[in-house]
Amino acid sequence: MTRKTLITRADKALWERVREAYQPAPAKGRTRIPDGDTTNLIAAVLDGVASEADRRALMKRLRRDPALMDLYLAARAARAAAPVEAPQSLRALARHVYTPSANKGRNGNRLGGGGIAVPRWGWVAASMLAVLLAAGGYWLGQESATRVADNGNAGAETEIANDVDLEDQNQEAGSGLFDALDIDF
Amino acid sequence: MLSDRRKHDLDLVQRLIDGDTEAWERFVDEFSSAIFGAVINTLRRSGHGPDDSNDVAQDVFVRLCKDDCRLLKQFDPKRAGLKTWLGVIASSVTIDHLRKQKAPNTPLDDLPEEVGSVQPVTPDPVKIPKGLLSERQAMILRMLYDEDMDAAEIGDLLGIDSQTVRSTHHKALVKLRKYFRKDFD
Repeated sequence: MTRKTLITRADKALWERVREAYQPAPAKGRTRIPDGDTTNLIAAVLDGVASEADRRALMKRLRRDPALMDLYLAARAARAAAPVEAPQSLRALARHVYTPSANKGRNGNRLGGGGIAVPRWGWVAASMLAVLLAAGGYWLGQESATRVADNGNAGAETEIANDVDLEDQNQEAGSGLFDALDIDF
Repeated sequence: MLSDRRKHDLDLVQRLIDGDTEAWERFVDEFSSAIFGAVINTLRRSGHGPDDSNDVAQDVFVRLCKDDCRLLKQFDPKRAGLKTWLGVIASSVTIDHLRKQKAPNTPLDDLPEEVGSVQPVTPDPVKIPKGLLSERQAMILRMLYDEDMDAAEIGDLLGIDSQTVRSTHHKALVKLRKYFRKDFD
């Protein structure tokens, strides 16, 4: 039989006077949710279903880490406390938290609050289509640019040819006129 | 071999991971009180009121399904019950919330007039000399008085004999009594 520690009202009053000074300061700089193994271990010990080796392993970790000890004590107290009914407002909010954009499952991502389910292959097909369209657009752009350049070159050549022809014709016409007047330069 | 309860937990969690919206609604109905209770309890334990309880509880739900249900995937039904596991997570998120919380800013106009008066009305805090109680003594007193743990449980946690817990408690009280007697003499 374990002997109960004797605690008098005077002892409790004494502790009340100093307890503020001995509250542990919260640890800084790291998130308090421990890794999956430790969380499961704490829950198993609290449920009383952990093996002796697991229990010892957790106790060792708790002794080394005051922040973890604080979490263990908080979870232990929460488990022992009387249940508190969650307000309807919380339930309503919580239902909306499970949104689909944050959750990918076998059905893929759900859009618009869970109404439309887009399967994974749909995203893959859409991505491939986008790549093909981009490549097609690029090719068409290149083609039309080449055509414009060709047309431009052809136009320039025609202009130059016309200029040359006119010049030749003028020269020929001029020399014909001089021949007719019989003027010798 | 998993018990029926554990099989139920496993099935529910698996459906949540798979993106089943109906399963999420069932989960909220079944476990929102356990989560809310753990949040309220951890807030109270740290001397805070229930003002933030809805926000913190909602944050628990958000974290559970964040990053493709990363946290939920860590739950191991072979080791612990879902309710206890959620209690650990909820306590952890609440401690995280308290750690991040800065001192509240109150607009000057909202403060009562006495605050601005020349003579302060706040009582002097009890001054405890550094090192009056050792870290272990303070922890044992906290566990005995604030957590309602018995000597055997504390002995288990700290890896010491329950008789050592009792004698440490006794020595700590002798120190406190001696200090306060001197203070009032």
